[in-house]
Amino acid sequence: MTGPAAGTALLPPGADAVLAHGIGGRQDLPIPFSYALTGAALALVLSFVLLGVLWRNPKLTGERAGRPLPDGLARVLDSPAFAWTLRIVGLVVSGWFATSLLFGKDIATNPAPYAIFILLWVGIVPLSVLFGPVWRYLNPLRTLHALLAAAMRTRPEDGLYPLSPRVAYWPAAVGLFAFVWLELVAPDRATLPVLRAWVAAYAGVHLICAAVFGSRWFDRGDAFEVYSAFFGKLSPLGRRDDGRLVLRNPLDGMASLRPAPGLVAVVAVMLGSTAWDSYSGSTRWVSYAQQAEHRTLVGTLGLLAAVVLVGLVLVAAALLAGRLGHVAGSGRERVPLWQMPGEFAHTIVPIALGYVVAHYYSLFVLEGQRAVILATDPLQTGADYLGLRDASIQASFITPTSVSVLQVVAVVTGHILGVVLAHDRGVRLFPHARAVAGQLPLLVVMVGYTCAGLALLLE
Amino acid sequence: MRVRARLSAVLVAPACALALAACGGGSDGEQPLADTAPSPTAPTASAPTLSPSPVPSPSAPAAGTSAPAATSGSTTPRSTPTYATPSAPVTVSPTPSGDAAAADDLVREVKVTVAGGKVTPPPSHVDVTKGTVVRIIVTSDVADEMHVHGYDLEGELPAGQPGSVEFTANRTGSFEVETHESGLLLFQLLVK
Repeated sequence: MTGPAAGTALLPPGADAVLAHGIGGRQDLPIPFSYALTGAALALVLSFVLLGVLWRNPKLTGERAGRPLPDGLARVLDSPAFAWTLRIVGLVVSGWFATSLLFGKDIATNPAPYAIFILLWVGIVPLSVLFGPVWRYLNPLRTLHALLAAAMRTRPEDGLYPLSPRVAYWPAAVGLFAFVWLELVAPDRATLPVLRAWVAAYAGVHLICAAVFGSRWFDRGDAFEVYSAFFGKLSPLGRRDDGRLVLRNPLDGMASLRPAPGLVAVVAVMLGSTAWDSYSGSTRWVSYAQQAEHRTLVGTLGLLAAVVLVGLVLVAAALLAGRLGHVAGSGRERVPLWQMPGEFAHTIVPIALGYVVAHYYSLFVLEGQRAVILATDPLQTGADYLGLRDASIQASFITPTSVSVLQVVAVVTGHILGVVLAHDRGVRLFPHARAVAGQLPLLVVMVGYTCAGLALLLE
Repeated sequence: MRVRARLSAVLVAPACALALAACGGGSDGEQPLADTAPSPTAPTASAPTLSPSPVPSPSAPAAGTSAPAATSGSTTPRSTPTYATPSAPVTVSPTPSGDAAAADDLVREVKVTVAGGKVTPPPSHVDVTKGTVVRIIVTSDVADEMHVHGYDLEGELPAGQPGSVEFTANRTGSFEVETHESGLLLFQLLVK
């Protein structure tokens, strides 16, 4: 029906409307309660069934697994020309949106916020899950650094100082937290001044660190490269320990994520921030938070609490698992107890992926289209460089039922992958007789994460 | 060992289901907004109540407009008449013409008050079915603007006077309705 007032009071064209609450006006409906219950029951039952029926001896071989790609294809993918093509694509696309960010108008039709929050932050996930750590190639900062190094006739790998291995993933954990803070907490986060400041600070810090430590800084220090690399471990395309490109079981890829300082922190930010995104949008939290005197402080503390909670629960469960599994006593591989959280951290990545899909699928599909359409006019001058001005956002396939089903399927699938990964790591680390007992704490935690994820979808 | 695993499964399953049910039950228990129940639009009867639209005299004081409500209070007792502020194009719509479609038309009216940075009733969910005409009436103690996200509708809120937005909820999803200046969430509109 056409309502009497449908479409009245629409924003006048070119209105100076600021996206006060970030990107995207539409959110998904809460999933039906029965869906959540079904998902939780499935997760629970499958967890324990899997515990009983899965293999008794470790199967996943991580980096050693995989079937090499045909020689010709591998040679093309490994060629410098291909790498430079990707780098130039990354540079051009990010340059395009950086132009909007720096020189565009601070109005709702500026594509820059969409590029950052939708194309980069959300789009990096499906790209990585399909093709591996793509941001390593697309990252404009890495390319800029390489070009600067070339201009100064040095090798990009060379830095002034060696990078201590104890730093490892910690800078990425901090960078990721800084980004999710920008996404979820920062006041006026979709306005250009805020985005400019954030991007300038991020680019500055990383270019300086790359100059000091060499390009390997980006491997583990750049938040987006690490984010892409972790989800990229779930890609069927991977690199074997002998350096060859292979097709492999995504679980093998995921199991190749080895413990390192900061690993647990990165994983905790990945999962905790998405959970916080759901919770902080609930009316329950909002009615509390918007009465608060210092909204930004309250939001920051809430986000931090969610991340710390996820991390602490994981650490506690992994330590308990090591205890129950007698890992330090007689495991197949003598691994000290304190390394348990790192050994099991990779199991959280598929769970985080499930959360991300459930949370951002419709947003990405709808607002991603908007990002591309808006990109046709990067400076809001009425230009139509991409010929997309008259394109409209296709939304017909986003129905409440299909979205709800997909959300539950994503969360439960992530859970099952996590359980299988934890099982394999458990039977690898723990002696036979203790393997099941050792897995129980993590199983309980994963069921908890999954139930929490489903409960958040009810909000 | 496997027996123990199954035993824990038996124990954990109901506990988890219970916890989840409690969680969901909590959210279901949220208080509904103090809005009038969906009422079929009665074109002729409601016309007097809403007739100050589309262009009221800007000087019409609130007290003056409450008179018609008192006289025709039988149709929408709790609705104070609202009128379009000069800058918001059409906020109170003309009532639908009494054709066949009008029988299906539902108008959902949601009233919110903002005072001292506090939203009354507290932010919650408002459920409507797709196609419902939603009329949002907000009274704010300071001059502000309301914004219906997703539909990208805006309405002026002069200090102390009710401002309203009316539209047909023809897209499904969850949409935040908030004030722009003070950045307060008023409620979430769930269009199913």
